[in-house]
Amino acid sequence: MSGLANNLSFYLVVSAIMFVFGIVAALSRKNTIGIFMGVELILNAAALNFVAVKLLQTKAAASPTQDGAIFSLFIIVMAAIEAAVALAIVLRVFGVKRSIDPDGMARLRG
Amino acid sequence: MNCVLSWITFFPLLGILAILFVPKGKDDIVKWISVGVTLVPLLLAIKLTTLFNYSVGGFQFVEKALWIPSLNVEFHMGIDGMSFLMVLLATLLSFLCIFASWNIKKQVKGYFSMFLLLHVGMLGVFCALDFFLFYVFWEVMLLPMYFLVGIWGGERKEYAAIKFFLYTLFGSVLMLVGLLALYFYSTGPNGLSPATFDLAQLSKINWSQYTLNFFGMTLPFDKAVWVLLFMGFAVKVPIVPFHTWLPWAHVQAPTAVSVILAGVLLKMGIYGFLRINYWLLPQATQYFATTLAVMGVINIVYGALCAMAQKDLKKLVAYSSVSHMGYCLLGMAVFTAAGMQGAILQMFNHGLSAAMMFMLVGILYDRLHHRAIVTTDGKLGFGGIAQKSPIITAAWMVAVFSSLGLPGLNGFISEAMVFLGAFPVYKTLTSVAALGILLTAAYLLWMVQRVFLGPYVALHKDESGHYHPAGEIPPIRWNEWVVLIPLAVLCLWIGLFPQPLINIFKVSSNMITETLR
Amino acid sequence: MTTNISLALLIPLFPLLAYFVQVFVGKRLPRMGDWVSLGAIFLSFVAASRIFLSMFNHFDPAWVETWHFTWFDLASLKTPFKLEIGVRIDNMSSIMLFMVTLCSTLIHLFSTGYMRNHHGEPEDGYRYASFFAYLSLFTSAMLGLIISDNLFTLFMSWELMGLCSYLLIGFYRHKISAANASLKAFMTTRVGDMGLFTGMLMLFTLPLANGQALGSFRFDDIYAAIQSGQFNFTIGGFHAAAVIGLLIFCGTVGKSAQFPLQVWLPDAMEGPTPVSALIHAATMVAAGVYLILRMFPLLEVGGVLTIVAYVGAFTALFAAILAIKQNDIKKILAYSTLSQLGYMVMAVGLGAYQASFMHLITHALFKACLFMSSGAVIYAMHHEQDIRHMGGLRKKIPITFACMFIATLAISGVPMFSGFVSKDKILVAAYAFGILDHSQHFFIPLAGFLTAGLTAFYMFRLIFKTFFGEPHDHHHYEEAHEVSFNMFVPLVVLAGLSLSVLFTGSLTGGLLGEGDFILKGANNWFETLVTNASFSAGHGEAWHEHLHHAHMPGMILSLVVASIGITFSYLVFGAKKISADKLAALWPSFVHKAIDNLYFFDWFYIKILIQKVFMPFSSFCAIFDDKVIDQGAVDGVKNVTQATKDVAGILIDDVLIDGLLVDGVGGAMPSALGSTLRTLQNGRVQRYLLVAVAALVVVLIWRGF
Repeated sequence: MSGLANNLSFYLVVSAIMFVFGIVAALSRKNTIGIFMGVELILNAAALNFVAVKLLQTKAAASPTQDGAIFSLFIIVMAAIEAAVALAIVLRVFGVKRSIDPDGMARLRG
Repeated sequence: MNCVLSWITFFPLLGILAILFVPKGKDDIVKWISVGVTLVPLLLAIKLTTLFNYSVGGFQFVEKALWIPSLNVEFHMGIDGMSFLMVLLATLLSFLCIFASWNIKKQVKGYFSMFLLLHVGMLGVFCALDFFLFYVFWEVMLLPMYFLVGIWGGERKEYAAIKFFLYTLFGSVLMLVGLLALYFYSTGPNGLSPATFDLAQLSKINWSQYTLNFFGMTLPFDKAVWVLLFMGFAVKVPIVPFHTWLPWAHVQAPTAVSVILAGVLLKMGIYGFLRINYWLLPQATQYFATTLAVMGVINIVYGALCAMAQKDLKKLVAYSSVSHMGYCLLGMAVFTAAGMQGAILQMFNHGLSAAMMFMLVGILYDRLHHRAIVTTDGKLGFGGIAQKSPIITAAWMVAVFSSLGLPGLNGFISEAMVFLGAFPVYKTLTSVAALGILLTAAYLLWMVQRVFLGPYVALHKDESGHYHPAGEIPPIRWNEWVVLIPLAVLCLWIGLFPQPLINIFKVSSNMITETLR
Repeated sequence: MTTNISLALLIPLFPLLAYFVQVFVGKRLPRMGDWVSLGAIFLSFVAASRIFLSMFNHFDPAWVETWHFTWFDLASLKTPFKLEIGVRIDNMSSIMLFMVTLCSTLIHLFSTGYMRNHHGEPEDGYRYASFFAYLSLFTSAMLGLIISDNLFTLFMSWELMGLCSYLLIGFYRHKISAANASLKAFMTTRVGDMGLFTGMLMLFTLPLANGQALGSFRFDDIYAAIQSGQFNFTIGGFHAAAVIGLLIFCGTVGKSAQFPLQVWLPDAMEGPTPVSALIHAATMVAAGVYLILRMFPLLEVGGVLTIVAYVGAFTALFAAILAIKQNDIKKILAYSTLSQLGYMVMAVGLGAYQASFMHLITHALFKACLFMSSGAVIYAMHHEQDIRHMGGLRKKIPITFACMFIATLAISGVPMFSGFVSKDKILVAAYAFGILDHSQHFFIPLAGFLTAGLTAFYMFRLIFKTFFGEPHDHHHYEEAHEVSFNMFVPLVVLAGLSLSVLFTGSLTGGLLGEGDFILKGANNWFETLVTNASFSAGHGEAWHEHLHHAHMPGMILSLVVASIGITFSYLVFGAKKISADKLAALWPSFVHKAIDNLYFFDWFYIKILIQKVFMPFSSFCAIFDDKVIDQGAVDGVKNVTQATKDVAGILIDDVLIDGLLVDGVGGAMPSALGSTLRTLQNGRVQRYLLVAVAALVVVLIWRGF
């Protein structure tokens, strides 16, 4: 059991970095698209964790399951859909307000 | 004829299903579907009269299946003579009430669905032999009733509906406690295992061996449970002082609902006593017999006195129901063959005559839009209807005289039976109850005098609540004839030839009597 | 089932069928179906005549035919319970059947004229058909009562007659007075019926001396139990037969309008005159007497006959006094009916069983004649009923006058007429009882003889005022003319039946001893047949001895008082030798006041008992129900809460809960918290996210990593 590929903590560290970047981006950007990019980073951080854990579990267990892979697949699909919907919303908002600053969207009533 | 009772009970559900698919605006189709699905149970019930074994006191056409295994709840249906009589009454009145509701304009689909659901509840109560099932049907009946009064009722329908609901719920909750007590104690020292709701099995247990500890008091189990169940049924009968929902519900309910309320629902209280209290807890029943008789006499006299003072025609009839149910209570409290059978026959007879009277109140309301015998400013609200509408008057006369116990009509037979049965047991009480005959005649005939006789001064109430002199009164419509004729014919038939009807419940009634004597 | 029984069953059936025909199709038939009712009752009359004749075939005082079946059976294995009903034909019921069907047929015939206007058209449209329907139903019920062999069907018919009486009194239903009278009649008789019903319950259910309840309403069973002494036990300290007998007698008091329930009968004259003739004079009111005749053995065993006699004597005398001052022709006859019914009841009380029954029959015939004659007068006078507006009518309506005069002679007790025979028997019995037998009961013969005199007086007053003298209302007088054929035939027949020869076989009515020169009393069928063979009427050997001794003085006395009454009446109203006003002024004003107010009975019942006691009580119950039970106890949950708040709740509610909890928690805290937290809920997505992250951090720190 040697080598970077077999050490779970590497994956987790990368994932954590991605997660923090995502959080920071989502909190700090004054652009809705930027916030979405942050969210994507958070989701992918989570997906990376699932894949890593699945990989190691496949090697260790006698009867491996595919749960991790399935979850990450779901996350990817979810992220895609989310992005599609969110972008559509952003487009509509831009059409109305001529801005995509999230603070400008505080008034939720149309 | 397997599962015939289920067919009778649940067939209207098919009607509800069919009504759901009727397009909007086709109200006539809804009505005719309702006629159809209530006619089938009626015909089945009539068919049963040929298949029923009159010489056996036990249950017939029994259906039994496990329903909720974890609680040992069974789907157990069956009828003996007494419940058969009630099934006949309920199916008949359900059928007739569809015609009585012909004038309903508002949310017709909803109305008839509710009515058919009510039918399921009623018939279920009369057929159920499992206490849990009984309770379920009992509650099933409550809901449509609430909506029927609350949506299709009169001016103060919400108040009346809530009042009815709360009252009945209050009774039902106490009944539920009693029901659970019986269930959990049925696995007593020499009881059954597993615990059961089956009435037949519960009836075999000697409940007087148990005691209940209740806030430090030790109560005899059977008497405590008897009282709990009693409260549930007493509201339904209704026994004074649990009766005040009745005038409200009757006055506010639409005609057909009043008919079914007086005709069938009130009988469920008495039926419940006989089926549950009398059967399961005979010793407690004997213990409380005098109380029951006293309450019966109070019902008779007090109800009649209250009826006398009413200015609202429908309220008067409602209080007359209170009074008439008193005869049932008196009759069943004495445990003699005549008294018990008189009580059961009185249920049926009152079902006919009260149904007829409420129908006729509805007919008058339909034409003049009010029910005031005397209006608030002291004028006669009707007055001299006989001048304009002799047919309606004649129909009223049949109902009134049947109700006040005129020989040759049904009421007399059952009241005479009750008195003959009750007199040897409670002499003074029965003599006081005989006063009720006089009072009944007094308030009914006084009403007849003020409503039908004298010069024609009837008033019509317009939408703004003002009274105007009424013009011509439209004649009775065909759907009203359909309701009135069978009831009148039955009144006369039972008055002259009671034996065929008595044969239906004679054996099972005598079985109840003999276990209690 | 013998022929007679089958016939007896048919007798009430014909009118019953006619009733249903009339109710459903009556108004569509030609002549509105009056011929249906008339034909049905005529068939009954034929059948009744057949039974009546077969009575002569047997000519046996003990002749009885019965037949019964079980009407309903409630028996369980352990306790038998069944109700048997049936038919009983004996001499009494066959005479009664004959009388009722005859009267009824004639009255139906009379009604075909009376209920039409002077152009021969039915009055009031279809009501003509219902009138005959009710008459038929009534007759059917009355006939059912007569053939009953048991108290139960007797009671049923009894009540049905009450119904018909109710419907017929209120026949002119546009009149408030008719509606009131019908209600009064039904309710008053029902008061008596309650007693009757309670008596029946006792009879049926109470354990007798042998420990067994009788369990039957049949007369045969009741008589058998009486004879074997089964009624020798006490109810509440009184002899059982006395209690039951008096309760049953209550029914008679109601139906036959005896004191103190007499108030309904005069008002019942609101009905059409044929109805008054049939129901309120000839038949239904006599049913009460028939009942106590049937129950005579029970009353006798109970020893309550004297009470019965007093009730009858009271009624006879006081009703006769009232009749003197009446001016309405029908009211006079109504009070005279009351008075005569009092005679019958009194006779039962005296043990003069035959006399009572005979008077029942003779009275029915002549009273029906009187009423129908008065109906003919009223009809001729275009519905004028006040005798002060009549006068001299004998020239205008001679046939009516002749018939009414004959009937008046009969009711006044003039020899050769039926009333003399029957009334004489009653008065003789009263004389024997109250003067020879028990002198402490002198009131009974006193009332009896006084009434006889008064009867003659007021009946002749009626005759003189109506038919003699000068007409007082010339307009009506000129228009008056003799009634048509179908109306006077019944009068003639009934007047003919008021002759005594039909009852005694003697032309003078036994005035010159037991059956006089014509038939030598051999045909004295009534006396022979109407004896209750199983019971010796009255009070033993001494009684018969006294009765024999009383015969001569009683008869002479009754003749004397009747002739005084007639003479006096002639002097006052016929020859006008004595001024009626002066005669009236002789009496102190309280007497007039009492008579004008009918001895204050109506006032007491209606103003005091009903309006001051009963109605307030019922209103009280209704208010109690509404305010106390409904709003008090039931809506009480709410009320209790409110009450708590009002009293102790001021402290808890206002100070503690309102002040601290509600204002504190609900007021101060939210405003403070709200202003802080409000900033969170600002719609800014990033702020939300920040809070979420912060919360996550807090949770992670809390978990201690």
